[in-house]
Amino acid sequence: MTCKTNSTENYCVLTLSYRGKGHRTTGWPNQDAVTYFTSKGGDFFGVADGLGSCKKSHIGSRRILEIGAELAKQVGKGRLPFSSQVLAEELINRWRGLYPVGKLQDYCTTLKAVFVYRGEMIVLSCGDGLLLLYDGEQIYRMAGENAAFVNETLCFSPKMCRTDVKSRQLKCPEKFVLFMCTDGISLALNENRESDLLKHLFNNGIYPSLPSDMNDLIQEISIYNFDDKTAEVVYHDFTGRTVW
Amino acid sequence: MDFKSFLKNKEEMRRPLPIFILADVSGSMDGAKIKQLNLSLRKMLTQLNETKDIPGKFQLSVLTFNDQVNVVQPLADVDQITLQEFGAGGRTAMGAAFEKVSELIEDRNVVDSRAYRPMILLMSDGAPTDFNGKSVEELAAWKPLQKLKNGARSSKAQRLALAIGQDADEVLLQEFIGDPNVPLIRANNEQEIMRFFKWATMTVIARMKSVNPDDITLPGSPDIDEENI
Repeated sequence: MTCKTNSTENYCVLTLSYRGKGHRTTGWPNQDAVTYFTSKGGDFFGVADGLGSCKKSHIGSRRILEIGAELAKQVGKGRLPFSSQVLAEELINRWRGLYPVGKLQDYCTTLKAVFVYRGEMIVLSCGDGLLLLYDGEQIYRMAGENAAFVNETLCFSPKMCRTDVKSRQLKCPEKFVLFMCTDGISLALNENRESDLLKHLFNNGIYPSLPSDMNDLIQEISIYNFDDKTAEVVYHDFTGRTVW
Repeated sequence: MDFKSFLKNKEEMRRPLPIFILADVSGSMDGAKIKQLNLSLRKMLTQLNETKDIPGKFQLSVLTFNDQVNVVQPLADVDQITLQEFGAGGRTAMGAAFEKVSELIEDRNVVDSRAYRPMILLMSDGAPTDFNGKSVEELAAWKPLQKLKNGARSSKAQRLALAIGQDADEVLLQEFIGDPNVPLIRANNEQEIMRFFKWATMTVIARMKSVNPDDITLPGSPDIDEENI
């Protein structure tokens, strides 16, 4: 398992990614990916889950996050408008441009992502997994669509269409906690306890034993689920400060 | 903080693998065949219940068809099931059985979206009496079978079939399986009915114990010799 905590000027971030028993046993790589990119311009946070049936989806999941970070950079430089429509289309078009159509189907991946720029926030979701945002008052939630069965989800694929990427633009709260995870974790979370989890993170931030707490959670899930498991927790607190 | 408290309870985290039995109980199945079918089902249930150290759980439903289709056992966790013995008589409404199992699988209140791909086991000793076609083309276009094979969820199911005796409609059963890599198993006596059930049980247990229970590729050629069962 890889686990990193980091504090930037604006955020505290915890990322965890765990290669599931399924892939450890067969020698396949972890197909999940997680990243964050912060700058004086745009910021980007994302988790992606490469589709198990695609032989290079471990690369696809990383590529889509690289594209997200690049878009945040472009927004920061003023080369792209900060618009959910534009960012969703750019993600799709740039992902499609990675490889020839015949090869692209080997790189399918889901995405949960957040862009932040000048007091605005754009949340995006394609496929399963979970994105939760809490500002102390409201919970904003993006989960997967109802697939036929687990592991059959919308994703960045050659056949995808614009409506497969759900997006929404919000005013960025001064203080928030963001929790994103792949379906290896989200399928095991008790929906009725999501608000308690968010309140706990909102009140405590990225505290020293959070990695250990998250590891306990992942180990427990791993008894019942052999998938890769990846999560990102972002804590942001600008209350009392002039930010933008 | 105990983060495990944010999880579903252990029972909810165990993903189900649903098994649907489609059993021909028409008049021609009467006697030793229906007796063996009942016995084999009981043994299957026992073996599924005795399978330990698995991440998920098995669910079982039994549909019988003769003049009509009957859900004699609604889909339930195997440890909650007491099977009722069923008899034989009447015609072979196999199409109605296909329609019914399709509806059940498509219904998310019956088959959980978290479920692994279901398994459907079909066993029959005759031709359907609710299908009037003659040619292979007509069979391929038969609506109940199309509904099962093309449904958003039912199409994902693993389908295995047993042809009992010389009068079984093997062409139809092959069409039901719909995969040249999956053999149609034939049984000409009670022992071979039992062997089919043992093989199907081992197949579904192997799936559950594998790293990817959604992989419905059969592990090699399903040799159902006694030594492999």
